[in-house]
Amino acid sequence: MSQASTAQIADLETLFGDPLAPAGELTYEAILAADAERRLVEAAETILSRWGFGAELVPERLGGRWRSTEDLVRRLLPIFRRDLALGLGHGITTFMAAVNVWLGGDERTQRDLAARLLRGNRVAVCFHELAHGNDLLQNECTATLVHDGAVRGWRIDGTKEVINNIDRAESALVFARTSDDPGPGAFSLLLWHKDASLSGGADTGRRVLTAGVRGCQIGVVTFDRLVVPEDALIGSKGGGASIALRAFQITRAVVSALATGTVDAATRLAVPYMRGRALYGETVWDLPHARLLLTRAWAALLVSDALARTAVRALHLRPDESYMLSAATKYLVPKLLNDAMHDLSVLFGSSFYAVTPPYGIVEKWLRDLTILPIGHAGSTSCLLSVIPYLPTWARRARKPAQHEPALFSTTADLGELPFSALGLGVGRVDSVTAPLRDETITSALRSAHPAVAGLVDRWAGELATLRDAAAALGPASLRPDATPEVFDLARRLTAVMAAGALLGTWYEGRSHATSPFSRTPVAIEAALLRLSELLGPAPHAPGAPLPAPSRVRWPQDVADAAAAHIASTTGAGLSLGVEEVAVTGPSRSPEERKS
Amino acid sequence: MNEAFHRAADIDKYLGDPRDPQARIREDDVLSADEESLFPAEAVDALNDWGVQRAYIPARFGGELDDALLPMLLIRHVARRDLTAAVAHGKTFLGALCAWPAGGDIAARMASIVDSGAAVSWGLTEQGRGSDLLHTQTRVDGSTLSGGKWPINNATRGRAMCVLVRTRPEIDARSLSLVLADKEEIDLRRVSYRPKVRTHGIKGADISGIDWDEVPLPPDRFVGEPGRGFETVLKALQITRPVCTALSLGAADAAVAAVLAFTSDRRLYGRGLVDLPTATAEAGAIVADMLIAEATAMVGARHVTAYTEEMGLVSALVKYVVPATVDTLFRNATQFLGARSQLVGTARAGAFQKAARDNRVVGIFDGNSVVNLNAIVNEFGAIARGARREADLQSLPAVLDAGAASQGLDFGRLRLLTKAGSSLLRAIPMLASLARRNASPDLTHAIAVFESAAAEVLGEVSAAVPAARPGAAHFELAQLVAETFAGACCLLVRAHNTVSSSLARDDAWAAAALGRICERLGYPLLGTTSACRALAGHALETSRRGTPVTLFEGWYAA
Repeated sequence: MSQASTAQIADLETLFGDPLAPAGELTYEAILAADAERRLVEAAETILSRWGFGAELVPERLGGRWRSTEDLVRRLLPIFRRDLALGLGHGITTFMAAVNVWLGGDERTQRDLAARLLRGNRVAVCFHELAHGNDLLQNECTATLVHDGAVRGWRIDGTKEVINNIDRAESALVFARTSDDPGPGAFSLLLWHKDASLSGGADTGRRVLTAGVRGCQIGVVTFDRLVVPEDALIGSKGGGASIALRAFQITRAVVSALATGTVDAATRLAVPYMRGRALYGETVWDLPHARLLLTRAWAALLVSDALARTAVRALHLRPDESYMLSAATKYLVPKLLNDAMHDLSVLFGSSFYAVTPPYGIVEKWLRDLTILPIGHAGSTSCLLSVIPYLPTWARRARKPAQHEPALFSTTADLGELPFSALGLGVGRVDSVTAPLRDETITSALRSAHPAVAGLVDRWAGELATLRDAAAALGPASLRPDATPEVFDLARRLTAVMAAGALLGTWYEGRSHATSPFSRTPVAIEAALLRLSELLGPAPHAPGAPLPAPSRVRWPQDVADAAAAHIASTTGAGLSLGVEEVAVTGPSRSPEERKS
Repeated sequence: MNEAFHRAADIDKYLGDPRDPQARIREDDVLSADEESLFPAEAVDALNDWGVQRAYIPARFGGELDDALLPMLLIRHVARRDLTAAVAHGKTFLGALCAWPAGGDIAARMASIVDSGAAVSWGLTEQGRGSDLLHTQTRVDGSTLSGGKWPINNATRGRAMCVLVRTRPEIDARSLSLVLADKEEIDLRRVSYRPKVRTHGIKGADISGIDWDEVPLPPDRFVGEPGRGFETVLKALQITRPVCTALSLGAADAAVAAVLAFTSDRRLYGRGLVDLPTATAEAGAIVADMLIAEATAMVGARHVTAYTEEMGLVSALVKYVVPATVDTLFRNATQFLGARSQLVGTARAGAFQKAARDNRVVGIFDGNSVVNLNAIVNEFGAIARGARREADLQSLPAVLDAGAASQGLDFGRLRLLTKAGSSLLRAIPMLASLARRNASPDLTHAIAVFESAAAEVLGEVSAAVPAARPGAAHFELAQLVAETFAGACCLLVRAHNTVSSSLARDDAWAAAALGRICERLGYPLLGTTSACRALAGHALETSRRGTPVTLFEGWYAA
């Protein structure tokens, strides 16, 4: 960890305190009360403003605290361990806007935005139009360069919907059509500072209510001949789509990594629930099936965290590979995290459905996480980012790639993020799958964990099969109307990347103190079993002999060992994920607290 | 056609188009009431005016109940419009049920309460004990009721409750009894309530609690013999569990409607969503899951009268697999609909997020997945016995046909455990050969793979080692048995359905549905995607005609 900059920054875990404490500013109870009223916890927003949330989003070069993106993730995780809506709404949507400026803005624009963020200003992201979803290139909102006497500016017309913070943010980044041409060159990004409009206006007052992240102030903006200065343009005219797609690489990785915090907290909260709830003369903890549900959730968290952290580090270390890796991450991680929350909701059962203190927060987390694969960059759009490059990826993935320890290590010194090195397309080599091809790593894993040696071989085989299938795709099959079979290849690629990230993270973590892979042998076994649930056989064709079914069988002893590890880690006051670090609660049931 | 179908079509017409301002249950009202967690009082009154409650009372006590099909179809129509109202009204079916096998005065008394339209709840769970009924602490000494029940549907608003109570201190099945606590005949000063619980879905429902402080009951308020309460509850659950899946079907109807509307209206990447092959395959898979749920729920319902003795197993299979399938359907539909799936209160969008939250209640209450999987594991030995036994299954397709007349409901035939598992599971080879007639190559393939996958699953059940404490392997196998049962229900509907809808008369649905099930059993099939796309096409046509997507004809308003 690059400690130099982080040492003096207070830990949000400490500032927020124990979420199960009887009183406190950001307890689960306070979060639930705010959620019911569709607002964020005000006191928490104050804490974050004083702490300097805005500075986190500004690169060091521009006077902020953002150097290593993994450190940024670490510092913000305590928010997501408590309230995903607070993270997004305070929040991360400003980050999503700002990275476009760090990528595409000129020096003056960057300095200006940095100053605003350091003052605590927010920026809304005006990309989404409901009729077009993630299909940005069909967007109808327009910007036209107009001259009014000496004043030149962009007139914005149209509507953007489901926009977080649009009413309260001081600024908004608008994705608008600036040409009638078809194709990606017709769009530009405009940074609208509400205090610097030239004429006209915009109605931002209509709120949109959502089932998840109820505290977020999501709304609609209807532009009414709003004119913004000519220099509101970020980058060049027509460069909007290109900047936005490069910015997505950063946000797709970071948002995925942050969201693991919510599942970390939910998995830990399951421990006091299971221990405390009496059932059939025992407790829920004594039910083998319950321990399996807990284990599957944890295993999904490990896979998600390994992939997301790798994608975050890749921004610094392998920016040429980030485009594919980030898209894969934002597809697979939200899916796995939602599956984990589903398992946990089954485990919590009626204590999830009937919002029951102190476990009522689980119901909110489930609703909040549901928006993760939808908002920002939807799952399908992530697959569509990957699909056009599948054949190129297949070629590059044939080239030998060195195992790059820093990519998979939580101790890597990442330096500042090289924004200009982020491109579109496929990297020179495929570093994330390198561990699957590295004999040192695979044989170390096979010999240390003979029980899952077969799974290691299957993933290595899957990489080879997938490369061949992707290489055989013709250009006509790579468009948005791609067949389900092509989509399936893209899905399989995301899982292979996760397998590479998992093996690499295991290898680098297996002797590192904070890594679950050093703390228990069951971590890699459970993670591999969970990941291998995604490993389907080739579809069966009529007439072919029926192969053995390809279901993952969970041995009960894996579930038992995993559950024991989850309990001891939780009891020790540590987080779950690829880094087990100190957190403030919840580790004890309310009954235990009283004694 | 079964008379239940006519009654169902009638209530559909009575309730009207939810988007019509004159309808009795209106979508806008439903969504705003949900947002404010308001009880659907108006809808419940409308259901009473029509007489839905009469479907909860057996014919011999003056009602219309002679089969699970009638309450199921009625509840499905309500749930399609508002799952909260369906839960609020339908709970009386559950609350009253234990009185019918008891018979006599208590049944007549219950019948008159239900017939009046008053709500009856079922007081089983207590705070901190969940589904662990044996540890019930609410008690009756002599005829004095003490204790409390929580969380209970309609605990506060309901008039009466069928309460599971302790009548002996020992922790065993013989120590529990059922009593009728009717608020019209007890001292209300000794009754207090616990506040309405905030819930993930069915937010308007009265999920609350009640406490009795040494309340004297009138004499003869035992429902059934004292000491038989636990057994009566377990047997009643064998009927309520399949009936509850009607709620899943109603929720799935709402989801499928949203998905199909989106598919036909949406334009993406310069073309209609309907022209994107991946999108139509995904829509078709969602429809296929809905049809799997429908086939399983309907065939499961026919078991109540046709194979009553097997309900110990069948109720657990159905109650596990229908909600699980519909949960999966909702998760896929959420992805498919994108941002729309999350919007609250917007016309044509808000209904989905409500249905998604409401739907989860089915898998969690009245026997959650763990309870049902446990019940399936406990039946492994019986399933294995059945596999070794010769059986005459010739009449099975006809008696499980959704359109067949009811054979009459005989509570006396309910058994806690089956002798030989499920006849339907044993009939898979026979049904496979019937279903294969005139089948397309894709469907023939799906049937063949399903048949061998099913044989393998049942073989594993026969080889399973009984364990005092079932582990992960047992639970996984129980899930596979439930999926196999769902596949068998699909085969049956394909092979024998005298009330086929036009959708059911085509091969695409069965190829898609069996393909989805084969995949869950570990055998993805090459033809499933194209079957799903074809199914999406049929479903879109059906919904353009304004009829629900269903395998059965005649249960909805024409």
